[in-house]
Amino acid sequence: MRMTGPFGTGRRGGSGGASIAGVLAAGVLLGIAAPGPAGAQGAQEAQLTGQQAHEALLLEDRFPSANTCAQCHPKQYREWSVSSHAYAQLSPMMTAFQNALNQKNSSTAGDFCLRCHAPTGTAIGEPTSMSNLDRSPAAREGITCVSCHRVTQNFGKITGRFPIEQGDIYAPVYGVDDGARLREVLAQPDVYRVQPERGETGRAIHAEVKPFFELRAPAFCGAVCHEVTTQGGFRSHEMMTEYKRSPAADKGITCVDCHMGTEQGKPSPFELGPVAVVGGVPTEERPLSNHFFAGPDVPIIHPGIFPHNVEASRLKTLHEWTRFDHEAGWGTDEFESEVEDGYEFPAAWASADDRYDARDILEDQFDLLDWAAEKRLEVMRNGFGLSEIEVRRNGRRTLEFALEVSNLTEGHYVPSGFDIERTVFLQITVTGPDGKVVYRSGDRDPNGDLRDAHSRYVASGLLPHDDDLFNLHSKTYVGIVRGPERAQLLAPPVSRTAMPMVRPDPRPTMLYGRNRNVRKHRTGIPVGQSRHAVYAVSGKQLQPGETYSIDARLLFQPLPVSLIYAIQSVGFDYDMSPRMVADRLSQGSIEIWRRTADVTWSGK
Amino acid sequence: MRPALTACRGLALLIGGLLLPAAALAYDDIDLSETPIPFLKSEDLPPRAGALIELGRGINEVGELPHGIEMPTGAVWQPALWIFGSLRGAYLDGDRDPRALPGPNGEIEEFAVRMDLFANLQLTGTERVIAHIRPLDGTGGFTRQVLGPGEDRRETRTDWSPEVLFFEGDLGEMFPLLDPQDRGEGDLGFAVGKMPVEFQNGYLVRDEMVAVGLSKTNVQVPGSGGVRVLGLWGFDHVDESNGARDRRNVDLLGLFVEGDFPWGLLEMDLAATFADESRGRQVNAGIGWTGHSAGRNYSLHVNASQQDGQTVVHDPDPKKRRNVRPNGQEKDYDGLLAVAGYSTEVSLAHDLLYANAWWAEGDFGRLASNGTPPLGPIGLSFAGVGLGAYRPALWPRPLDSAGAALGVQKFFAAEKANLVLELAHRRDLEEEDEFGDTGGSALTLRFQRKFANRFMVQADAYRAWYGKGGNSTAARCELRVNF
Repeated sequence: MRMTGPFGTGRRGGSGGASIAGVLAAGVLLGIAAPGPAGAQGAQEAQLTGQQAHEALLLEDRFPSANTCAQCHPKQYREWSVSSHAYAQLSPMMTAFQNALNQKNSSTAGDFCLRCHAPTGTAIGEPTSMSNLDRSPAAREGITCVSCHRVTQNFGKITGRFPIEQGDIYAPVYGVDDGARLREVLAQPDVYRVQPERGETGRAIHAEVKPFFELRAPAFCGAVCHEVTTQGGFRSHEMMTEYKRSPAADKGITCVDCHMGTEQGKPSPFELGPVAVVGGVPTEERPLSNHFFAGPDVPIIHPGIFPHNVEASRLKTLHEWTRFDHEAGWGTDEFESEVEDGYEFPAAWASADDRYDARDILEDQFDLLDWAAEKRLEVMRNGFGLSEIEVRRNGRRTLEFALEVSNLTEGHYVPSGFDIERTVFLQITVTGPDGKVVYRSGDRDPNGDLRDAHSRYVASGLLPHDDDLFNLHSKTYVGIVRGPERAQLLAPPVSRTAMPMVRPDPRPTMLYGRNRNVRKHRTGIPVGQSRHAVYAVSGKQLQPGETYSIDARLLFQPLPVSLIYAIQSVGFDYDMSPRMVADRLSQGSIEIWRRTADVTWSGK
Repeated sequence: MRPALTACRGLALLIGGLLLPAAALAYDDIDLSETPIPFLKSEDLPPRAGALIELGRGINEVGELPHGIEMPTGAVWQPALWIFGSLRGAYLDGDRDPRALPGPNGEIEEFAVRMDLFANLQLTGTERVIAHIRPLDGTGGFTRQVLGPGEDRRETRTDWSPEVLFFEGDLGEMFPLLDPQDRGEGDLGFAVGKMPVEFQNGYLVRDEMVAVGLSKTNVQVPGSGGVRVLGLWGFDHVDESNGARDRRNVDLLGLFVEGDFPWGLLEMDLAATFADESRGRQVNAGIGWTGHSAGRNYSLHVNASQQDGQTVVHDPDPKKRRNVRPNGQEKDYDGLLAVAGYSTEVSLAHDLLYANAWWAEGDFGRLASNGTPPLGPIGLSFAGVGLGAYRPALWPRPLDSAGAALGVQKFFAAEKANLVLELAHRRDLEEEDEFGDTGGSALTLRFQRKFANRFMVQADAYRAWYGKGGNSTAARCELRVNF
């Protein structure tokens, strides 16, 4: 039942000779497996999933799901399944963010975020707001296989608005090799039992791999999606621009070199392995890129939904998975042996066998999530440096110390990408010999927010502002009716007009480098630079001759809790409450580095 | 007193009375809810307010995207044409004591319209051509119906000349084949054509001129998050400082630098105009800083202008005088303008408080101007509304003066409506000029409300009292539709 490890083949049941082409995919992808939902809600969902299955059949002919690709490319699928690319559309924060923007500006933000986060969903015209539980498979898969391997041109800085070649599993795919391995497979039908012709019996396979070497070019990743400019000229992501100014560009080090090798965040070699396992038979080895692309997002949704999992989708629908209470221990011997009669399970989970099957799947999901967390930490540690604690002043009135945070990359700022939300901060605690905390910075309010201007506890005067907070979170500053711009979590300039709309700016924004009303203030660390955080503990808090412990943690949180306030009015997918989202965001913070020091205060 | 004015004043008092207590701190819902909020369905969102005409892909519209055309340079163009804009109509009722201020005075009642029409031809994510016309207003005013006092006549103005028509892009994106390794050669922003040029919040220059500009963003400077360096040469339609004349034979050269630093945004700009026979050379320099701390926002802009080389003719006959004031002083744009700003949010609903002040010595002048009030960014009381004969409550030219505006803005209806109440004051520092006392105080009100996705109603009103005597009152109500 369990996969064989983080990079197991992920195959369940026989390799079979049956085609997994289009028609088959719907059932697999949607997970419309027995037993179906029961009750009125269940009936409605059954009807919905029936309709979805029909739509998925049609869609599979245009944009095959990653689950289809998984049949022959299990390694790539498994790496991708837990990646930020795979999570891109599933993130409840992202979907709420997009909806909140549309609510503010007469829906003129349209599909702006979704073009990168769900390129196939937008291409087929799915509404901008709908639950991911109801989206088509390829759409909710976010940046799925075809998002890159069915692109044929290099569009430059296009903010995700690029077309994807349409076609079923038999249609050509685009890659960075010459298709030699595919030709070997096609040349041995007796071994691989593949069938590149539509309508013929055999394992469906794409008949051709067309070379598209631009896939390796920085402009493909950097410009197409990781350089984001709104129609109004607001530059929210500038990764490609950063890269072009970097030593990495001078040295010819590309995005792929650092983010698709064996070590995340550093140029590293590819591992060797079969590019495909066709019917259980691996192809000849060759260098394989890593499709995990360790990124900063930490998943906060149900583990039955993410990572993507072919087995999970076969077992139950996404709706049903959201009702599997894994935290209560469903499917474990401990729980199942002691569960009381009358315990009310949802109809879909009434069977103990199903719950055990689900638990098996989840155990594998947890392994995969743990592996992803390790790789995320790896990429963070290769991006951020933190010095030891340097005591600068140990005098009569104060104890002053500093830390240096540096950018270790050669290719871009840290943080980069969506740096108007990425929160990288230092959490400082100074504790006296009696265990009493004499100084804090980077601590959280009861909602989980840092004590900055966006904290509602600070804004309401219940907590003091953290004046010493070291936070690399770039801010979005928006013009107001009169007077200096203010920081806003959402960009629409509602102070200047009650009817903000996304329209092309009549000013030359390429020349100015920004929109007139909205700008990003960059506080990230450029390549080769560092920032110092300096802290001073007042002598009033200290006793001469006493030893104090300084604890410094460099933390990363993908999104600030305060953003939840700004977008919560549109609700969160998967029936998550704002508090639940906040708690999981906070709990998902990554401790990149930790430094400690004991200092005896001289007091003179 | 006309009924409209009486009603507006009553409304102002009423709304003002409501606003003041609302501006007090009002905090609730501090903690995040543990109850799920229903996820918004697509049908609960407003329909996408697309452009009037969208040829090719729409603005942020779902659906298939075209493959585009691969250019010989290596760039892929996906042309899309969007025609969009706004139509505004406003009723204005106002009077200004003839003693009050320089410029037009007296009673006015009118209904005026304005249309802004844009055509944006998007070629790629970075390259585009954009044109802007204002077909219903032109030299001499707006298309309007004059309703009083004592007259009822229609004035029609049309103007099809472009306010803006330029091409912009990124050289590196236009010619990707020249940089196949993405090393940043040619990664420069550029624009050419008639374009809006604005720096130092409009204090240094705000004009639409024919120009060519080149810029580089994210220039690495130690300690900075990125610096933008922009060079610009304007060579046609470089208008005079007061925006009165469209000058054909003036060149503008400028270097504009802007950088993000941990302590704020720094703007350092230097620009000059050359070769105008009448007005000579003018050099403007400005430095600006915008900083933020603990939810409070600060700004400081200091701009200086100096003019020389102009033709000066003293003559008893006013018609033969050139660049001489009535008091015999040489008329030049030599001066300094310092503007300080402060704003902060005063409630969890993001209601705002702002306080801006300026101090000006001499006759500071913009390097080039489109005629919008120079002190407009300081307060609504010094700004126009871009439609009809509505004038700023207080004189908006810096000329040896100081003043301030203090305002509060309250948001309603999930920020679909807002109300601004502002108190402003202007004081002359030098009363020996040709204009006499230009000081005064004003109470200004603005209300905006969006409705039906594309429509907005805006009401403005003010009451002003002037140093040289007299007062002024105006109220207007505008309906706007964006398409």
